[in-house]
Amino acid sequence: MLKLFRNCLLAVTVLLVSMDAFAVIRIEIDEGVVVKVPIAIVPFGQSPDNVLDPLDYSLDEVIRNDLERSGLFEPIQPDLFLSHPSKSEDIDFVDWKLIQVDYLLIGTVELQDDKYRVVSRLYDVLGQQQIFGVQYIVGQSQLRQTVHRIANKVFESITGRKSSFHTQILYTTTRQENGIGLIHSLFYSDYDGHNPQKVLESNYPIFSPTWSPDSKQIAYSLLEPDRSRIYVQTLGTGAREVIAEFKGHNRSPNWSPDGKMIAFTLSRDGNSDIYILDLKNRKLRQLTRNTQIDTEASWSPDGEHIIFTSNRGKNAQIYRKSLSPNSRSERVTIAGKSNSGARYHPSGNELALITSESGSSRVAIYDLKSNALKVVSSTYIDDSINFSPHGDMLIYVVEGQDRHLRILSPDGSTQSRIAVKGGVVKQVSWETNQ
Amino acid sequence: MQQLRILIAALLCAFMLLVAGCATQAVEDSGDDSDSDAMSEQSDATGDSSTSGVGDSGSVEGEGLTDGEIPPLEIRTIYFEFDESIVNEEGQVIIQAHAEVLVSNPSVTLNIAGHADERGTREYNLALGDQRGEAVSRYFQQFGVDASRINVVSYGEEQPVAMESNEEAWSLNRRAEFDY
Repeated sequence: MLKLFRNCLLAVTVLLVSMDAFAVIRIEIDEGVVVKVPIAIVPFGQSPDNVLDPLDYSLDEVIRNDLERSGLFEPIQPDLFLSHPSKSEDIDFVDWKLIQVDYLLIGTVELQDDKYRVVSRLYDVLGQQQIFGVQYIVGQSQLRQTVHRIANKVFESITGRKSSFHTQILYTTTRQENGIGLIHSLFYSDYDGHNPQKVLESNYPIFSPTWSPDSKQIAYSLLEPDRSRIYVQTLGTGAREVIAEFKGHNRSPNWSPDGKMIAFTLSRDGNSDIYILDLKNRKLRQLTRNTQIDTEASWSPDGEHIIFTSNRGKNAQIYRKSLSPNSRSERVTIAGKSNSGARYHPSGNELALITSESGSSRVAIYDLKSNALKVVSSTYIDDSINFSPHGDMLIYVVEGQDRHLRILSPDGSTQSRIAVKGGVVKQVSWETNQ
Repeated sequence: MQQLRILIAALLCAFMLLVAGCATQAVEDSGDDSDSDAMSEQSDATGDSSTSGVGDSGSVEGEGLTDGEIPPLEIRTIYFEFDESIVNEEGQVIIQAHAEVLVSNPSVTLNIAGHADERGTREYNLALGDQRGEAVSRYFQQFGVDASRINVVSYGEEQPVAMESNEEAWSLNRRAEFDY
């Protein structure tokens, strides 16, 4: 027996060593695949000079930040530029070959009456030719979003994929107000935290805000003293209505991809289960039924099943249940001690979730085919993970003493902090509209 | 490559057998933890917490003494393990003592607040706080307090008592507090 044990131990050691060697090779291959595209974004020429002075941002910086956050681009710092062309006739491609950029974006912004006229062109440096040229005429309030659109166009022209730079997020905050206590707020803003608009302010905690598929409405749970209720609010008008105030707690709403139903958590018997509410006929259907926690329902991109967090197997794990009758719940995550808050990648191939263990609680990507769990954040206490509408970025809340919002490329290679107004950030939700 | 895969699979099997072999011995004194009904929760707790110390020579002296120092009626907080809602034996002793007071004062209302540490999502922790509060409530009911006198509320991870992000702080934050 002892000999067998020793042989086993030896075998295990060999196995660990060889797996280790594989891991190294795989990481190299992973990194080899993601060669970041070097691109130069030249500060836009302005006419009259300094027309953008009243703005608190520069157009080229917005585009640079957008492209960098995707993890697929490496925008070159402007102080390395040998020239600063803003029109095609000013470009000397040698200047850009010398600093080894593959692509060059230039542009101009002019003030005409009360509108800005923005012209931008993307060039292939090696081929010495224009890839696209665009022109927008917009008011000041749309200027920043127009610049995000240009970044989208750059991203799509070069990668062939769609990007989420021109999208919005919802986020909740809390702040201490003298004499009143804790104030809870809900905002929506551009994905990078700019242009925040307050949706709601409350003395009661606002939980788990979420977008309708057309991004015109939002839903959230308000933890009122007698019970928690789910509200649906229309962003354009501010009109809101209670859609769920059943006995117990009504929490964690999530819209079906076709916009017709909302899945949510209801604890009618002191225990949380997943229910589905038909928004048209207000019929309620109980999807899960057991004595443990079922919560955080989220629809699959095809709308055919729900994933949710349950601790029916002792610790929190992600489960899946089809909406078809007589379906059974299946456990999805088989790696990680405790997993919660899962969201589908738009492709349906992987989940983003929070995986918790001794000492940390971090953002991870769960590959549904290989069942591999890969931690991608470099922070330690993470919460409220979301994919962007096109799956090209992740956003989450960093908890602890320095709470903030953070955007992460799906491979974890680039990350940036997002500053928000209105207090300490608690939860975030990225719109799903594409 | 195929051969390599088979080799790895075989080695993994060997490794698992080895681990399983080792685990069999350990299981004997910690109890089965895969079950979740109330009875096995109790036996779970006995295995996990060393405070009861019955037949466990390693922990009797140290923690058994602390037990004796603070009378159960002076404690109104029940602590939990990570991502669990199981009331351990020490917690049950505390609840039983308070339940006796409540049974002899039938007009008094009992408020229970469940809390979680900051790991895991805010939404899941709200449900976990509920489950912890309900677990404490069930023991109060088992010891004779009528359910209609009990209010359970969850604060999830919103109201930590220890602000740091480490195991010590988290163990203090995973709790249910009650008051009457």
